[in-house]
Amino acid sequence: MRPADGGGGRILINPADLRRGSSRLRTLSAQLQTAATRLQSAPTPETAPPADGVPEAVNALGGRVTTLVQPLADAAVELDRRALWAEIADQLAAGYPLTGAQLSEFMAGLRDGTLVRYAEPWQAELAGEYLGRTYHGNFTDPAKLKELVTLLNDNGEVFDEQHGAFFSGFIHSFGPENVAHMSRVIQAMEWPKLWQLSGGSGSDPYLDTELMQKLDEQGFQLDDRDAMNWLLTFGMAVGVATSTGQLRRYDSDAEEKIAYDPDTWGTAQLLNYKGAFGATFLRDMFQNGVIGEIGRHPDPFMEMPISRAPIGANDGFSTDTRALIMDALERNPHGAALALSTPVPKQFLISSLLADKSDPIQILYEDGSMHDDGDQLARVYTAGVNWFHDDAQLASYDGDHGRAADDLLHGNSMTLSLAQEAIHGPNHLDALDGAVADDLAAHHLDSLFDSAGREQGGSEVGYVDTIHGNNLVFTLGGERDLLKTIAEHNSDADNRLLDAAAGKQAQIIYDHTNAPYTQENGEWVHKVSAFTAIEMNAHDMQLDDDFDQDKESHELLFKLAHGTVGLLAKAADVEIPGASLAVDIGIDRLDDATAPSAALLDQNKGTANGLLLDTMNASLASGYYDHGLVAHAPPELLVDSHVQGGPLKDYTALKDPVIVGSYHQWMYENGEVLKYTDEPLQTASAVMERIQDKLGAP
Amino acid sequence: MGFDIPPMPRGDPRGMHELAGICKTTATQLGTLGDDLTALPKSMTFEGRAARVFTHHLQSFSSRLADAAAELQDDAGRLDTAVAEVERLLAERAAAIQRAAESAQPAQVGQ
Repeated sequence: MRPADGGGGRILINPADLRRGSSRLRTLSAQLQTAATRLQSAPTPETAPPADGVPEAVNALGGRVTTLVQPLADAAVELDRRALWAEIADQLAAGYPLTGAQLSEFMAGLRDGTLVRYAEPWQAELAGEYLGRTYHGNFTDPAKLKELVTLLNDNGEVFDEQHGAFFSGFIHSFGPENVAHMSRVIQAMEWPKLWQLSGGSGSDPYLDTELMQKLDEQGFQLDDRDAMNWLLTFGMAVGVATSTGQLRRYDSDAEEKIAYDPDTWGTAQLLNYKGAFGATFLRDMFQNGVIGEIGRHPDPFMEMPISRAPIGANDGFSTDTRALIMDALERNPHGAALALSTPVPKQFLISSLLADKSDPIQILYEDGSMHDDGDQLARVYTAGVNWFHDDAQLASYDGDHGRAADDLLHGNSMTLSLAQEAIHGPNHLDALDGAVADDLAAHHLDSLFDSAGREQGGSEVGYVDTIHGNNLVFTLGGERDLLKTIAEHNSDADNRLLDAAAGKQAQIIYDHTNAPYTQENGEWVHKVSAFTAIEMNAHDMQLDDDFDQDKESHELLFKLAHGTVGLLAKAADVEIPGASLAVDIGIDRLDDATAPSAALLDQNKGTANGLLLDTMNASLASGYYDHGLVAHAPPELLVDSHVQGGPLKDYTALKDPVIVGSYHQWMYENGEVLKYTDEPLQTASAVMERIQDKLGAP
Repeated sequence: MGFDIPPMPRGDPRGMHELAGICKTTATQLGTLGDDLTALPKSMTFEGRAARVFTHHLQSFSSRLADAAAELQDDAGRLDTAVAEVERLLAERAAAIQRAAESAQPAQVGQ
């Protein structure tokens, strides 16, 4: 009997008891098989009620009982393996050799995967250590490497703690540097004759030419398919060890040793395995293999020697180091978040190109030489920034407010970095406009409206308000510049953002028109009117400008007005509002209404009120009407003229000049309406004029 | 005068009887196996998280075996009931045939 510490408290195991239990289970399993067989082959006589169907049911039950036979046999194996671990763990930990019988059972367990499956994590780590020690001196021998690959695969693809510990133990004793070099070993086995061509200028300095020559002299060449499978096995080992967090636990330096290896192509080849890799490992791979490579090879169009001997030959693995790393980041949003938010260590800021820069988003945007116009960076950015916001929400639910604040600080800093580049970067990547627009729509609508209401000056795009919950705050000019950049470069992204903003604006108005407006609670009018004025400026429109149907920017801006008024007009039908009007009702798509009608435009001509001020008033009137404060509307303004109190027609969709006139009369002359809308409209008008003055002519 | 001979009842009483016996025997065996599985962890010094999971698994197996045993006992009961009913009907039919045979015999003598 021996006590052991498995990290979960004291564990008592008597191996002899477990061996006896295993033997008993095997017996019971055999007896169960006999019973199951008897039922399955039982006679099926002609029956009479109430026994009709019984013979078939008995046969079927035999089948169900059979399914318990193997699990019982497996349980017997579990007891054997746990007994073995109880017998050998101390020996292994102390480095004593196993007896012949122990080694035989140990290897059998490794081969069928049960040694690791039925181990405590610390025991699995010992098994990995043993395997690493066994092969770390002979892995350049193809026969030995094949043995090793087979054993690793026998225990692979399980992403739990004990398998993570197993592969961590293996990497530790095998040598992280050997793991980093493994793709070169496999490359040498697949391309042994290449040594004859190496050594010249432009030759890949990390080819293992010595091994190539040796294997060439032996006449050995590894099959392309085997080369790929062997490499995937090592990728899987690193993936399981890092993604389960066990490698950092058992060997705190190993991740960096692999990821920071100078042979970035060699290590990136491990990422051809498409399973999960750990977030910190991927961040380190990114810093060395993506940022570091930008400095090492500033001219992306120069041919890289590494492309000459791909593993798997011509139909084999990608040789694009950056793409491999970025692909892996796309698959691990946490990794993407860490990679794009962690300042790059100085050792990777190679060449004057990257001097004074440490922000990975800035470096990629300005010096990344994107072959895909930034599409992949946009996807990685979106994955990363979404991860921060999702994790902040989870942390809040868990009551971990420190983690939530930290997530918001980093996520919002990413948004600011990308906004800064989109506005002021020396080059422009339209795909990134889409990424930042979607980020704003998903996470920063409150910030856009709150910041607009603040009317804060400043030369920066914005800042993270570390005093008030790490919220994102835009300066007035920064918000306008960002929205203008999106509007000018990516109308699809602008569409999506305006859709979301219309929903938010309608919600703010709806939430505050359930009571009469007062100066004291009038902050919301500032927010919506300031935001509308900023969007107008961003879309090249002044308050007294006529709507120009030929201008795409005006059409886009009309989307904000149409979406807002449309939602509020229909809100009278919403008896119990849910999370948001946009979800309850759904925003009318731009395709359905790209521009105001001629009648609506005509009504605005020659008046001091611009179209957007009229739509603002329509929003306010609709809001107060939705809540019943304005109790009456002329029948011709109702969707169903017979239903008093029913939904209003959407002002922005009106086409009949008579109805438009009637709507204006209701908004601007009806005392019941003016009682509620006059003051907020005056405030809105003043705010919009002031914002327009502050921002200047578009 | 006609005789009302009941039809031959459906069902093989001997076969059903044999099957009921198999059900009862196997139910008893499964019950014993289940008890053995439940008792097994108690016979070992094996503690810790893995031991708790292991014990839970065996209890789950045991429970499923108990369910199977109960199902077999129920099947056996239904078979026994069916056998009894078929045997009763066969007996009634045999009696009817007997009665018919007996009432037919004097008439033949008279001819």
